[in-house]
Amino acid sequence: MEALQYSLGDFLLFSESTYLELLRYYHQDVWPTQLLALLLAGYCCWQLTRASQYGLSRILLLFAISWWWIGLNFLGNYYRDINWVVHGFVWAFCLQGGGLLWLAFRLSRHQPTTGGDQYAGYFREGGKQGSSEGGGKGSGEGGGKGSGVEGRAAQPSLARRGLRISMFAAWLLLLAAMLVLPVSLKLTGRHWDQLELVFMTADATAIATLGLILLVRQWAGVWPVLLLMVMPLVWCAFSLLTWLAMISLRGG
Amino acid sequence: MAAINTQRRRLIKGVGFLALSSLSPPLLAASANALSPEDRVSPIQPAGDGVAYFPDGRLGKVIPRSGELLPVIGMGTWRTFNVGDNPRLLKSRTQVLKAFYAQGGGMIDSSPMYGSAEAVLGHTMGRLKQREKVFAATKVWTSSTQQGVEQVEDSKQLWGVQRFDLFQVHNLVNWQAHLQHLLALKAKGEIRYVGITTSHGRRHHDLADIMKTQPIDFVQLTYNIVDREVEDVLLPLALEKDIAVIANRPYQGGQLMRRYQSHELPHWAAEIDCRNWAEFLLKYVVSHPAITCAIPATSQVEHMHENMGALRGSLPGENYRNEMVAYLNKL
Repeated sequence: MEALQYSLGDFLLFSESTYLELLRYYHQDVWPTQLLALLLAGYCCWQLTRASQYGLSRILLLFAISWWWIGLNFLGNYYRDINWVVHGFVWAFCLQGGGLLWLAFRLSRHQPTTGGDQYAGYFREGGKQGSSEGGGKGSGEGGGKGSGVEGRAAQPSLARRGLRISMFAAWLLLLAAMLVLPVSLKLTGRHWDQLELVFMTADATAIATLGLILLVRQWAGVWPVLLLMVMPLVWCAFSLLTWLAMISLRGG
Repeated sequence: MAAINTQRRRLIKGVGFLALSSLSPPLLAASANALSPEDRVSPIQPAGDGVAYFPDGRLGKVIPRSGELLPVIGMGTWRTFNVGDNPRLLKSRTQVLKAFYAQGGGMIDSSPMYGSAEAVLGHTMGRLKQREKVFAATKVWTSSTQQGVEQVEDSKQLWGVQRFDLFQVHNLVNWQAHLQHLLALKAKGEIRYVGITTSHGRRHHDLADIMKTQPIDFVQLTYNIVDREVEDVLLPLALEKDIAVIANRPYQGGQLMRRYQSHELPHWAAEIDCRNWAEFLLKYVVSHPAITCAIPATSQVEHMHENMGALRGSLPGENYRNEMVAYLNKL
């Protein structure tokens, strides 16, 4: 009889304290790269508020580089030492970086919209007004490119609502990754050099990438968006399970 | 202390355990509990169970196939020694290993599955320059026969040892091929003992079949005061087949400590030389006649000292063991 059962913690190869020490070790090793990461995060926020396709393509380029950097350095040189499962993620992160680079290239080749504010229009103006404006522009400029913007005025309900929801989710995810995650970790007692930061560590970068992909989904097409969301989602699930396992072992 | 130990060794060699009553007044004095008079005066394992004391008073058990005496408390490295090359953590684990050495611990057990644990062990043992002091045990863990051969060599490099005392097949993975290879290495004198491991109570039927049919020296399995399924078949089988038994997860992966450490020990714990929950839980495990040693894992020096406390003093007899289980059931 298989009497005993596995618990989630039984799959964890290391302790929470070891992981936090690893974060500290990594951050100390790469200092002051964090300052650059913060500057880049600020630049991304500025570009996101402008919402031009060129700006978004530059942000995608930065994220592509950060996936390579995190995959090869944080995962490959640090995290993999204590978690052999991460070995497979190293190349997956590089692949994701390649995908984001492709998307950045694709976006940069789009004709810039005159208002430059298609997604922001939905977000700021509550959808109805923005949709009719954006729909008109989109149908004129993005027609035949599978953008999904065109024809929204004629399809007032589900598509528009879906876009609004995705925009809202995108901004929430970006906010969570860039601000809520590091601040909440700090508030729970983490040291400064144990924080999860966009462009520096995998969790924050994966969450922010999900938001970014949702923002650009109207230009990217359905399949590229879905494919590029797989890796961040897989990582977020993996990381969530890891954290739940670590929490389950607290106090031991 | 030395006189008492001498008497204990005599006892193990065949003196009846009532003799202890004349040597150990404190044990007799502790008569206010519900245990039988026989158990109160005979906390030591009776002769024939392979219990013995080292000259410095550490508890040991005999490896049945060789007669070699092994300290009853060893050290596992699952999770605790997987710290990568973080200098701060390497220093911390070196202190843990130093405490293990200082207290006279025996077996150190690891596996390629444990991430960087083998490399960290090699580093810390190298820092302490005492590789030869431990009973080195590790495992083969791969479904590939060829990779299994390579893992043996890799482990030697990582640990920095010339030969291992014990090599085991981890969790029965590709055990037929690996066991054949390990037995060949043993025949050539490159390893001293061969074993098979399991954990979490899995594949006990398969393990029993292997114990019945294969010339293995050790089995490693999960045994603690809560997970006692192995008492039914595997431990009696080990006694019958003269196979040494390593108990992993003696604290159930730390859960038992988390569950019980806020409670008081029973008032009779001192009678079996238990001063804390670590000693209580470990002595339950190693007092089973079939168990050769337990391998608790820790990342803290303080906890290592507590673990090593179970290397000293007496072991509970059958009645005490029943009382230990009953006490925990009431908590």
